[in-house]
Amino acid sequence: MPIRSTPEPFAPGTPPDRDTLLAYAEGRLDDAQQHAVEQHLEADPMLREAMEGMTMPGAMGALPKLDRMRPYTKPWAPWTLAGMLVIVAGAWLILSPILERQEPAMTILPEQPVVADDPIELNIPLEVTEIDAAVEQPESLRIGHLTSDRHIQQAASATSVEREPVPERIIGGSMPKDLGKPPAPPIPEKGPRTVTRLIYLQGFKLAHPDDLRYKDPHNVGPGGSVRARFEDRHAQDAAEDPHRTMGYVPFMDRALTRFKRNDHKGTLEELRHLMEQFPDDVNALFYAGLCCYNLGMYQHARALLHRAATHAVPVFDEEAAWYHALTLERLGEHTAAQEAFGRIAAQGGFYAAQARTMAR
Amino acid sequence: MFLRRKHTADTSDEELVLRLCGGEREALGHLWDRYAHLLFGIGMKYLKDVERSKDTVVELFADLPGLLAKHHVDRFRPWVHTVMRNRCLLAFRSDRSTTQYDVERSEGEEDPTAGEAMLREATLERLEMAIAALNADQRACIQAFHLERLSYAQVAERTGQTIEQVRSHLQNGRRNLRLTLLRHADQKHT
Repeated sequence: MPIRSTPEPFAPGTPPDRDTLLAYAEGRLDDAQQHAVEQHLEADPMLREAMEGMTMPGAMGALPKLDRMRPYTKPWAPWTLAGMLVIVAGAWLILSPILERQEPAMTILPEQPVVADDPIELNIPLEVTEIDAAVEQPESLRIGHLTSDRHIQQAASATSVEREPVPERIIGGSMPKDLGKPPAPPIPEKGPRTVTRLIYLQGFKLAHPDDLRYKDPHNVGPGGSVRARFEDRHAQDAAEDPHRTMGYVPFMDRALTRFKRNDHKGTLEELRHLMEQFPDDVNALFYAGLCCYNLGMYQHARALLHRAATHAVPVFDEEAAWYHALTLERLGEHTAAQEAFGRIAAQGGFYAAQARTMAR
Repeated sequence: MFLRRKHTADTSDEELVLRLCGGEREALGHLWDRYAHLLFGIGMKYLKDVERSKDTVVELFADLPGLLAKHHVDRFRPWVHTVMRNRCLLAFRSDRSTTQYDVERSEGEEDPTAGEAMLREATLERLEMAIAALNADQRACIQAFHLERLSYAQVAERTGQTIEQVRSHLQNGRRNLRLTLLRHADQKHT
């Protein structure tokens, strides 16, 4: 492209505001918006370093807490305070008869984790028969499909994903022996880790498989045990029928295609295969949790979403916490649900407003 | 006026610094709004710890009035960047050694953004000449990113490189452009 056709090629435009930077870090911008931010990243070393740090685990979630430490807030003028008191008193006079008829106000519990410890068993085996017997919930009860949901891409701004050619379907119920690049169960580490990239498949957010940490899949997973006569899984696999293999990205792409079509059983069956081999895969945990909810398998949804919300790779922490709270509500555990909504509202995140609405 | 609001969006950082030095504490809040999240990100990069990063930002802002009274700051942005980075490095190193140095020492440091001005002000002919002199990878990345306005991901897809390689070629390419333009300017003067 001739240089003359590009006005001021090295001059960044208006500096990105905080919201734009956060949207960039979360991969929610389209290509042109991404480029605008990246021009600033190229020109501004401070912004570059800051963005590197902001993509580290826990950084985004900590920003609302940081905001509360703002050093200076303009003091209220006495006449403003007096005016506010008059307004509050008037509102109280009008609303108090209504409020007295309602349940006590929800207790907001600031500075607490978004998801509290859940006393239930978190590793409930997901049986094929259960999935077969499950019934799709009515559309009005489904979750995870609204375009305004946090895990759904807001614009036509897919982060480029180098797609692997889609091989044939994995045969029968056998496990994928090797999913191309190791399809990663994220293994929590002691130190902080950097999750630098998100990808979107079928418009749904995923942690990039390259940014998850893998261990050799050949000795992992329930049902994936190695029989005594074999030295390890490699030896066992070598002695058995060959499996078809599939890369992680096309595998998830196919699963999410089904999810997009509201085929929650099909999606769950796919993800179940993945979780058998990689039981701690955060992408599978989250979307399997949504599927279980939409199939009325609420105990499974509760366990899966809790694990996604508290996962060492904090890609779905906010969304999963929100859906976990909804699951508690569906299970009739109203006290726990109300506490969960209270925590989400107090955190001031993406679902805070909806959590306030749900809280009574 | 009940609804009167003071607009500070157009106020420069340096003006806010002047106001703060003049005792107007509200300016500190405005500087916080502009920089706290960026400084926190820098803290995360170096310290890799949410709580320590938050503490470092809060401490820096607590010290800011005193520091600004002590140092003459021409440009706030690079200065506060350097101060934050030095504090992080000091905290990072103090975990392992007792090395001390003046963490607020930043006067006279080169503004890292200054070199960008040369690129923006260069004539088109000189830029074209300088871009043509780059190696193939750097030229491809500079052209795609700066002239065609593609994102990192798009440039990476087109060139078959990783995003990190693209960023590296862009940075090295821009440095080489600056050097070429500088050499050209020197030759013209002599």
